[in-house]
Amino acid sequence: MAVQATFFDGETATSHPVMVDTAFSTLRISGDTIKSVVWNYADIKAIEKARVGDQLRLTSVHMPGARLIIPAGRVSEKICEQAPHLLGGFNLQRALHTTGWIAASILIAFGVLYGLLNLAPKFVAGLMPAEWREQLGRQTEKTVVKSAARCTNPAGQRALLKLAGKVASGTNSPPDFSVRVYDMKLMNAFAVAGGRIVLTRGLIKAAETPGEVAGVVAHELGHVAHRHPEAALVRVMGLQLLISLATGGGDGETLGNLAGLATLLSYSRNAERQADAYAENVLTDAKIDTIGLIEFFKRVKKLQDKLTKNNDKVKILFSMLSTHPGTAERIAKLKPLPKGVAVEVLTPVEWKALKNICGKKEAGKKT
Amino acid sequence: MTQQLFGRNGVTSPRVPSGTSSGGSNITVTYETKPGLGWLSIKNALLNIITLTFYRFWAKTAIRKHVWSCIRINGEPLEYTGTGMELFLGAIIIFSVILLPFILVVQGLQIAGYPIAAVIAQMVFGLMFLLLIGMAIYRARRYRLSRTLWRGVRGTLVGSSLKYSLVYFGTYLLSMVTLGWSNPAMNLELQERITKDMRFGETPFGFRGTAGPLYGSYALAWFATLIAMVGLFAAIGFGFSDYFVELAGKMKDIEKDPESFLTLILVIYGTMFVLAIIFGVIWSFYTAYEMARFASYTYFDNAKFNFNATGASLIGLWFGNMLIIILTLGIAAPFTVQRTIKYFVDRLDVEGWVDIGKIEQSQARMDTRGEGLLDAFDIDGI
Repeated sequence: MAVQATFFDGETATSHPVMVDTAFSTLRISGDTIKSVVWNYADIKAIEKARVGDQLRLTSVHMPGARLIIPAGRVSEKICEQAPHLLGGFNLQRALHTTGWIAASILIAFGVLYGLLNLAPKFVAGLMPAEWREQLGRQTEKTVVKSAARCTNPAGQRALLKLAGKVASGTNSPPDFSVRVYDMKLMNAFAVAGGRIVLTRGLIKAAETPGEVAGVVAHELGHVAHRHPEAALVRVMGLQLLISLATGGGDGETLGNLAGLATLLSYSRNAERQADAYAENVLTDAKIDTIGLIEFFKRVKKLQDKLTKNNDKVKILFSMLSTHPGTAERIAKLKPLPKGVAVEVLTPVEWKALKNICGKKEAGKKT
Repeated sequence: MTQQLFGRNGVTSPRVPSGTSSGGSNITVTYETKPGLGWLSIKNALLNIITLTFYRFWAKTAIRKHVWSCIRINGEPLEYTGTGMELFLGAIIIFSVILLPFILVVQGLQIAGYPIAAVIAQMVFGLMFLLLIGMAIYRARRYRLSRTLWRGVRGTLVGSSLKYSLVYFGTYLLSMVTLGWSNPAMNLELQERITKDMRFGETPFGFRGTAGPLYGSYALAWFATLIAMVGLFAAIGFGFSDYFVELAGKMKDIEKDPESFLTLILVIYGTMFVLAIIFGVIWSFYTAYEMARFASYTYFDNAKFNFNATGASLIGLWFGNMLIIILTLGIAAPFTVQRTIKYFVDRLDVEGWVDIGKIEQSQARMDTRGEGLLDAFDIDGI
């Protein structure tokens, strides 16, 4: 079977009228103005997915610049029959190729995510110079505490310092750290970069024994020792990189926003377990009874249950914090010290001073 | 804008004749719509969502393949041979050599406690970005031309993208210094450079003409803008002065009064929107005139071009595209590409003749990656 067709040789834009003969299970292309060529069915490709009843636009893998246009008709239909891949139906090789690409992309995506959000933050946090951490911590702290005043009642400060020292005595190599109390109602404690541990007035107020505060400080010290705050910041930056990669844009988010975001995104369960384990070791070695921490967790749980009942805002807040391991689980893990071993963390006078660290306001309420 | 719009025209106008291989042929360019763009829109939108927009490179390629194949020169369709992977790699490379260092340096400086150095770094990078815009435009044009085939023959740009980029930057600086009065001359300079660099196969495009005739139209648009601005400020100053005084009073305790803050934002954005429309309308007439002029300055072999652009039709094109984007939440974006290309093809007329048989395949080396810079700067939507 033969048909008149149009041929472009890929060398010039000249249009060559040709005859295409399909007699020998190949496409034999011949014309007055070109040298005859033979295309095998296996080598031809459709420029656009061929449709039965349409003209065919073909090229050959051996002549990628050449184009052969065969008008719709018996010959074009026969070619489609002989070379069904032109119709773009199912093709095992292509399907495997596509599947391979998709699988590789997913693997790469997970690899990048894991590296950027897990490995890199830990690694970078470990390498961060002290001044950077200090600077980051200062900014994050400012972002989180906003306009709240720092509590600096001298007697309270002294008690806090003593308590922190007691906790730190439970480890041979305590990380550099500092503890501050801010006049904020919300019951909270967090560690930011540079070893800065921040407690709120609400937390000090809710604590019933010095051991409870010591437990919280020990837990936050665990975050500090593992550099969780620094890692969290690097993680947020990685996330930002991903976002700018996805959107193609690159406007630098201000650090303040990042810092705020980093503290909002709570740590992973794993990080919390690490901090808990650290706290338990430190407390045991410092001979501070973990009963304090247990009691405190219990109280937090009760408070959570009560608050989440009818306050949506608080509910949202706690659901954000819910990456903490279940309170019950944490309590079960902590073992109390044997009787008689535990030392007194603060004297009653010092404890009273610590409770009053935010100044006259608290004292006034008590009388 | 002018540059790109005309650029599309350039892409669509590798022109060659029908039938005969010797002597000259007349050239007709037509756009023949075909089905499939609707399905493509939906498929692209879905895949873009699933892949967090990473599919956009492949989406763009699919749209171009469709739209290119609707453009027929003497009955023979154009063919787009670019791939999504090329665009993707281009974007990845630009991201790693430009955007990533930018983010790392600026944020690193902030973290390390040098906020002033961070601001300086930001300005340096900003300047660098400005310097690169011209390069982005030039390279993207070269990529598209080299991926556009007609009768198996592809196009290219043969000049230096760096030189073009410097002229582009110069255009920008001069425009600020001369309050815009250098624009017609400099736009012509840019258009002339890129047109003379353009090849279909090995046959060059030519450009011959002066900026003089543009100035009458430019002056009209310039003074219309001035009058519109003065009028607007007068309106704000007199008509709404009480409102602004009241608003300013509320500004003091803005934190306690989110409602007036919201009004302020609405007022600012509303004003900007109105300004954009007014200026857009005024300048559409100049842009249309400039494009038509530039087309008439352009020639290829023995053919010259007539481009029947008008301000009103251009406004219609842009307004229609905007509506399509807004009403379909961007899903029907491929149709805006089609409308834009169709606008240029429908209004383009080629006069004279081209010796098609003499057009030889381009010997230029092909870029292996595409348009990374352009994607990073998000310059155009085609």
